[in-house]
Amino acid sequence: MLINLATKSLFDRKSSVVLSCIAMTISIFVLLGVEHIRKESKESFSSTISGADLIVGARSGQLNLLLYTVFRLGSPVNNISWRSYQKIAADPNVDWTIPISLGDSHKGFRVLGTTNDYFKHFKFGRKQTLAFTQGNQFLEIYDVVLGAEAAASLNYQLGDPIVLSHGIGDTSFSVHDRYPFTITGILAATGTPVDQTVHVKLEGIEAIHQDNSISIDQLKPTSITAFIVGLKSRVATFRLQREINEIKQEPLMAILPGVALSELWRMMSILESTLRLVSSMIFVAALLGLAAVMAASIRERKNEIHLLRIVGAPPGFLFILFQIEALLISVISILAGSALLYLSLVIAQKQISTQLGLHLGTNLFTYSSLIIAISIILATTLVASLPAFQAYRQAKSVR
Amino acid sequence: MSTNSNKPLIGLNQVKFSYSSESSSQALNLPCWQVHERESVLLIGSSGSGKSTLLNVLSGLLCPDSGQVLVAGHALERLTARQRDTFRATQVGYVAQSFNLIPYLSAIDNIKLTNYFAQNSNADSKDCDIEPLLRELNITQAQWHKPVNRLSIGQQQRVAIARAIINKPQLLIADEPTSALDQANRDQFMSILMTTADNHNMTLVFVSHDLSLKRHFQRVDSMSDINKVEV
Repeated sequence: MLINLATKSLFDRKSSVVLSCIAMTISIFVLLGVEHIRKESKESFSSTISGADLIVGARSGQLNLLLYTVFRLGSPVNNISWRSYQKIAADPNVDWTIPISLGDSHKGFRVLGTTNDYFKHFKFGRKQTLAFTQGNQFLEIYDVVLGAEAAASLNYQLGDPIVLSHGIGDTSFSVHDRYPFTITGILAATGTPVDQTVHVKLEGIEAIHQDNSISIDQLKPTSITAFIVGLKSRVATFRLQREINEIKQEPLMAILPGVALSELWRMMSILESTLRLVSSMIFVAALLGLAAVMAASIRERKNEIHLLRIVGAPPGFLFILFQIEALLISVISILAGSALLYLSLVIAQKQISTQLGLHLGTNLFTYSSLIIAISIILATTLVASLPAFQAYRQAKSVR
Repeated sequence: MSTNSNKPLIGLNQVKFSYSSESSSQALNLPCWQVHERESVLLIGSSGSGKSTLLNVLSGLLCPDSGQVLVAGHALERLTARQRDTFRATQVGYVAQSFNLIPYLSAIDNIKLTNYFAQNSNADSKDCDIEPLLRELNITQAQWHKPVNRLSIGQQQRVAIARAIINKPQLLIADEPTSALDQANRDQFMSILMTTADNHNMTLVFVSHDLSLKRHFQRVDSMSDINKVEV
């Protein structure tokens, strides 16, 4: 009876109730959205690389090196010589290395020059290796292996020819059209920036940047952007890192991916806290708006309260009735806010993935979302206590 | 009309009530007033004579400052607020001048709501009671599930009677229910109200300014005669 009465009462005041619902829905959308994006981006970043002990590049900041090497964000400050790479790769503690050469692109997708060791040793998520859905790794110099997202977005098939552009912008005036590449492999989706990457052989990168045609045998890389290192034993990690950082011939820097990620989270935590604070404030404002609408309705419902008292309703019934009305608005808003967020994610997922390299899932049924929903309901109950208590007092004073 | 018994349903003794502690604000001072079971009483009085205060005391909405209020065997001054709410839901039917019904609820839901406060948990018996009652009061089935604000004033007043008597109260209170009705609707309403109260063996206390209604009642009391407030 209480829920029936509360529902019909809300429906009777639909214009003000709808406005309250919209305000609450938007605030819950922001609240859930911030939390979802925060969690998903953290998971996405954390799962991008695993099993790597060191990342080596030109001396700059460890965050910068991590971002451009692993997440394809930002630009490298300098290259490192092929000779330095070979020297470090030959260290007896080193198990494997993946050289990386960046700086070119294809239709907005970043090109990564590497060797077949990339497909063998690169791991993501829970130490998962890369898998091919079609084709194979590099066999020839001008072979291309596409990430899943790049292949799907550009609707490329095996055997399709592509040309690379100089620079990393969406549009480039310098196209290496003298050297067309051929797609020979397409990787399975990983949910990491690998999906948006166009992989080519280091020698292929070298070839397109030569001014004059030279024979394939003479194509040896002279420099690379960075390389990822896997060690035979983790015990040697800090010693090798120190040795690399102290090389006098070339200013190199070796970073531990986990430590760099921790620094990234530390920096992000300020932004996270700010976003959480802003979204919470928006929610509090919407909640106070709801309380104000409910408090204002007490005057227009004076006769209704009087009638309920006449037919035997105790004042506590009015308190509970107002609380249930607030909770119904809150539950409707949680459902609408979640639905809006789900739709937004479905629509924007691809764009965010391509533009920012962030893979946002659409599963909103998580523990943190549940905690937020419960907190919203508790906050609503708390704030609605004020108008509910006013209704209680009004009911008590009926004479 | 059935004859009233000699047993009093309402017995007020030395009842005093003030809206504040100042004696000048005294609203009621009733040395003695009784209404017998199945009796119908028209209570007349000018504005401010204490009619509504008396009705609120009889229904348990107000508690007297002193004196005894005995209604349907309940000494209201001894009941807690919660007990008086239950008493009002089970023992008193109330028809007011206006706003007798929750406007956005249907006739059936309005009546069920009153039934809910009487703590009748048998839902089937509620429907069994409600439908014959609505038919008895000439509310057609088409009107049962419409929000009552879509019914005419006359229909709303008849639903209000049904709502007031659904819990089979012993006392039916009517607070100027005809003042907003035209002559034809007023006559029809009075006829239905008196017949219903009679059929269901209820005691009726009816407040009005309109002395022309006295022919419907067994007794007419004037507030100025029973309320001995010092002016």
